[in-house]
Amino acid sequence: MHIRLRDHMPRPDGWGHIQGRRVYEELYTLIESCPHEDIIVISLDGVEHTDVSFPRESVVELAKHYREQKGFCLTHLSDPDLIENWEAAASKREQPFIVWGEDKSYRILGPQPSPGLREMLTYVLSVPVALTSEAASALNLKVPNASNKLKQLWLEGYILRRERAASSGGVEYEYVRIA
Amino acid sequence: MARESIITFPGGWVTADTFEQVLLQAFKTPLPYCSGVTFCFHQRSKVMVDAAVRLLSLANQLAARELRVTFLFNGDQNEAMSYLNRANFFTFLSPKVQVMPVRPDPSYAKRYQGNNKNMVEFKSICPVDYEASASTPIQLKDALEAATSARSDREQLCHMAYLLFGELIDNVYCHSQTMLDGFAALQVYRNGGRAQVVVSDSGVGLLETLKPKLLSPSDKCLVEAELVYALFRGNVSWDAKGRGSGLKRCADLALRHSSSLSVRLATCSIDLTPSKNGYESINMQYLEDLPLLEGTHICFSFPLDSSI
Repeated sequence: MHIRLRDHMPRPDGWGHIQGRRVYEELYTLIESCPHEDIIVISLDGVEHTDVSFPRESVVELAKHYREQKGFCLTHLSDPDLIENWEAAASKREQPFIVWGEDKSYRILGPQPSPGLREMLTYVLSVPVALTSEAASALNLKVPNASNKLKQLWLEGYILRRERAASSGGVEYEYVRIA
Repeated sequence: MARESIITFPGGWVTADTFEQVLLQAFKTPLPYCSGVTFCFHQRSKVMVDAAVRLLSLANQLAARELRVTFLFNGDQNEAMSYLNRANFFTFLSPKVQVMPVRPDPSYAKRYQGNNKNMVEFKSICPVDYEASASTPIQLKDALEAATSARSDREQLCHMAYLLFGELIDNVYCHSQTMLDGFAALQVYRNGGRAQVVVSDSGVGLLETLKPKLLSPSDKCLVEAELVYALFRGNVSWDAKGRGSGLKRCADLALRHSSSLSVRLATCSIDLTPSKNGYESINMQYLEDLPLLEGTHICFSFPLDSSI
């Protein structure tokens, strides 16, 4: 699901908790109307200035609310001043965001993954879907270890987890990058 | 017996410090026993914007309390009147306040609004009408851009001003709890190589709304000056979802541009001067037992690039 944030803002600049809250409500209603969408790509195209309160009360709060169920990522975020403020908002609420640039380049705003999880996150961000067994093989890990790392990344909001039927019967998880 | 208090501003620069000193002298008679207050301006008074915003808030508060309030501008072509008129001051001064010799025509200020590269005229912040102020931070930023068009650090400066205004004006909506308008303004003092950003409200005061949200018992016991200092240093724990750290962000931004900071609360004021270690208590000046000025009045004063 793609959302252009500017389309939900009365002006190209956003500041303060009141406006942030209004945008939160509007986006929440929009997202709830599409319950099957679990990846939300927020484009900052057209957004010229924000403070810290506005993103914190709007997109960051939304992502935090939906953590483990839906994933939010950002695009068209290259202005250093904007990045600084969105970084502060994400860090304050302890909600990470993947910011996608050109050619699949990315940066992580907000809390950074712990050293033990970085390699796994890099792997998941490099493939469309990651199964535990494949991740373990790719990173030379035992399956339980890989499973723990993937689950941790999901709980902390870096990636998404979906259930699917296992070929052997039962349920297995696939981990997807938020993009 | 009710008495009239007379506050006389001298010739020369009237800073926030000057304002507080003359206020202290005048209000030897406690406010409840005053029947009226007259603000007298020397012909050559030059009111700085940090003093002007406190003056505006005080005059409106006194008028709201049904005291008789008078502004008396002495001499011909009084400099204070000229500046305040140009700054749109009289547009927001309560109509209950009598101005002598005559209240200036507000259309004069409106005619030239936005055309002075050194000033962003007073803008009101209506606590019950967010939409009325929604464009204020960007207007203030744009005006500062015009005032600093030749500066090498213009972009960073204007970005900082936008964030400061946004944060401080947001605080007015969060904390003021009043029907009286707040104000925001900016003034560039080229000869003095400084600019001042001011935001003021006449509400219950920042600390009164923030104190209940403090988590630590030791924080709750801090005296006002210590608490304001802790807020700007970020040494306070909150129960809100990330709110309450806005003042620290303002302080961090201001420090990047070596800004000094003053905060006037109901009966005290705190001035912080930056050092290489940020705002330190050793560089803090604190005044208490000041005459009552409700609300929160914040001023950031930062040096301008001397190369311009």
